[in-house]
Amino acid sequence: MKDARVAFGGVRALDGVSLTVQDGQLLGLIGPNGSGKSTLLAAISRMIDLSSGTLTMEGRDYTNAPAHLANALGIARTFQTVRLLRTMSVLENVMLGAQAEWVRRGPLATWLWLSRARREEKRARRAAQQALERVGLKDLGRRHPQELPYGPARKVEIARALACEPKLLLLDEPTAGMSQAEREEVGILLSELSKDGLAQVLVEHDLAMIQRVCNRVVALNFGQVIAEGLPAQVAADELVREAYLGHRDAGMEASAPMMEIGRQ
Amino acid sequence: MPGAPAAGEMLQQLINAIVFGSVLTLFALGLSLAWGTLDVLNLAHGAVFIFAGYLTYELTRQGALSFVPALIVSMVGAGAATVALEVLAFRFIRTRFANKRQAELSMLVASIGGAIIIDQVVSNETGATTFGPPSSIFKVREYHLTGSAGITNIQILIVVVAVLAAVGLDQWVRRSRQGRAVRAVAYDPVTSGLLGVNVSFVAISTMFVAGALAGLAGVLLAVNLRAEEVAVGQDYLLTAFAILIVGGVGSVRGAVLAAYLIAIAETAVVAYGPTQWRDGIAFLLILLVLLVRPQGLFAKAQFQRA
Amino acid sequence: MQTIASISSWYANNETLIQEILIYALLAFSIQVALRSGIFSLAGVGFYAIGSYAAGLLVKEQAWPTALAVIAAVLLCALLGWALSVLLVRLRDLYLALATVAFDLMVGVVALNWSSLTGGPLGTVGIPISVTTLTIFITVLGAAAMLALMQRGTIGRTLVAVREDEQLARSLSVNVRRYRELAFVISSMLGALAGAYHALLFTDIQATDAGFELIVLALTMVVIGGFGSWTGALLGAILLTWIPIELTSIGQWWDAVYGAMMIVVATFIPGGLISLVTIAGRASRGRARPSLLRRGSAAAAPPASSSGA
Repeated sequence: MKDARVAFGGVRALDGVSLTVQDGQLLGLIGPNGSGKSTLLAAISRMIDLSSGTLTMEGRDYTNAPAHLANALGIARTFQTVRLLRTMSVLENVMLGAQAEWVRRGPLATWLWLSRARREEKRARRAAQQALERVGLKDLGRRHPQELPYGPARKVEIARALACEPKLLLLDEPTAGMSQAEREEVGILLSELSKDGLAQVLVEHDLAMIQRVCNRVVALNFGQVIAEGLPAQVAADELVREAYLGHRDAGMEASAPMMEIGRQ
Repeated sequence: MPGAPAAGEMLQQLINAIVFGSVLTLFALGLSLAWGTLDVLNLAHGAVFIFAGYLTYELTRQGALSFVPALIVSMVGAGAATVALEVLAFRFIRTRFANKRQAELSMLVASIGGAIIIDQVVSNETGATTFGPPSSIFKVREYHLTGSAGITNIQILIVVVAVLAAVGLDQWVRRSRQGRAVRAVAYDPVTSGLLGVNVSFVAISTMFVAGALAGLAGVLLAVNLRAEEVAVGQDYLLTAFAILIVGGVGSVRGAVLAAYLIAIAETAVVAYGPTQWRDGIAFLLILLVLLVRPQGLFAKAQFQRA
Repeated sequence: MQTIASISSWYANNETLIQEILIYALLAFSIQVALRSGIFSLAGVGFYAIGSYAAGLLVKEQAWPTALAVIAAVLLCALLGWALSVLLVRLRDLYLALATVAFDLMVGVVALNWSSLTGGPLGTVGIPISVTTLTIFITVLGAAAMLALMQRGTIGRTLVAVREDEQLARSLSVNVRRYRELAFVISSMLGALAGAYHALLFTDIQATDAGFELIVLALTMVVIGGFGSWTGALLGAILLTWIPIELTSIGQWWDAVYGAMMIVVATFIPGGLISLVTIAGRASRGRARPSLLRRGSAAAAPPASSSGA
């Protein structure tokens, strides 16, 4: 169903990458630091522009759509770092996701359409609470993000993305820095979401995790796909092993062009 | 000889513009250094500038000190006033406020508070009128050039000092160990702190240099004009905003170029154009440059965060 | 009976002060609504000038009815504010602040030079007094209500997200540009209202009225009071209009005391004085939280809608 094709020309960060994610598919994205994983997520979520290539979502081309429209098409994401707003409670942070549909009506509607606002507020609150329950944090809604340990804070971010009711979920190292128990919880959650038919792209360093939960894996290096297939196949791939183990410094070199893209 | 007086007049205007531009350079360099390095837009800079002129007036009017010692003491005083703001306010704001934008806002308001205090000290002590050091401390001599044009030794001194200060600051930031620390802090205060750069010391010394430069400008202007008042500080501050924007925040060379450009433009408008539009030049430049090229017209930033 | 008499005599003695506070409150709202949305714009002061000339001249020269003149002035500034926000769309933080300061001061320079319209250095004088304190008071109430709506519920959370993390906001369907434009336009309209009422109440306009001092004053009001909420702006407007009058009694150093208070509040009370009120309120309800002592700026804005819709 979903066909996210990405192809960069000229810039090394992503060099002619093509990939497609199906409903219910949990695609693992691996590669050394600076291989273009985060850049790829940024491209799919329209945080950065492609220099060439196309993006399609359910047959609709959104290559030049503004970033907020990518979310409207059903693409939600988390970020590499915790990006919760400190001035709001955890529940309100998740409500930012739950209210996405209403927000698309624009500032005047959300400001002045009071009868609808009342209903929306209730609905968003309920949806946010459900999303929190889904990630196993149902009692933390009233806390503030800065009071949460790192692991739960990252789960709140997954809840916020889920509250958008996405069709495609992009996860940028969601379990980095989590305890082993928390990792497994997140792994189970992602598998369940996949069974429910959600398409997901998971950027992850933990190959064990990838093998456990993903049903397809793409390995990147220097912005190019070096291997693609079932988790076990990719893990055994010669090029992948070399990229991970052989040249640790290779990743460092590749990170420079990526920064240039980020800045544009 | 009908052309000669006009040529002399023009030469005189050019000299005036260069002297004005030199004072602006000294003034703007300090403001640019603080903003480029520490993200502090110090609105007390104009007040510190006047404060130094006041100190020189106070130190010399009884004949207590001669020119050079008074200049040094006033520069130190101006630097100390700026450091006081850093130590009492900016430092706390920098470490306590997680949100950079809010830190900028609070520093802005704290510096307004500092400006109000300094302005009040000066106007209370001077009776809120114009003041200036006595003419005896610096024997002004005028050298006649062609026609009616002339230049005084204090004017020459201002130009020379401004050029030396600009070159010196440029070299300091680029070459010296301390300068490298300043650039490191400007680029990434957290990491440079981890790498062993003493961020708080860098901040204090940067603010001292910034204040001392404003002080240098203030003293030279006070000696040149022998009439200064509190309100002048604000005029210089607003013009310096334009210099920073046109030259690019944190760029020494950009600031110098922009200072002379604006000085020439303002002098020309006053001399030959619609005089009352003079103040508009700076504001129009700010708007135009920010619309077209927000990073400044000239040099790329040298010690500003990317 | 005696209380009524004393209230009315107190009012008579302080009417000008109250009028000034109300007008400054509108101006402070103008800056606050922008800052709360993460837009470091001080353009409200420029629109204060434009609004005062527009309303003042329409009433004086064209003999327009007051209400119509005020509405025209506000709509004109809404349009200009929108245009300015489109022009300055790329600018953020201190750069936006400086651009809008330049805009404000440019308005002053134009007003000074456009003598045929504004009277130039002589100013526009002899505008008939055409608004009452009550009208302004009701306007302030109405504006406060609109701003209160804007900082709660969906739009309240959205604007906080726009302020704190634009990229995150975009990833959650927020059309950041539209929301910023709304805040900018509302800010322009509030500035225009303040200027229009000032002209129609105090009968004259000088080109220097909306100068750097007014910019500094408006910004100070908002930051000292607290930019997280309209209540902070209101508190700032009250205190900074009233305190200088009180402080004159302590003699020639009052300005220095005022400056010192600004440094202390800006440095040590990140949420502004209104956050002290909020904390005191929480403490009295027995769930005090030491927000002030916490690192960071959590106290800056009150939770956008914790009370529900």
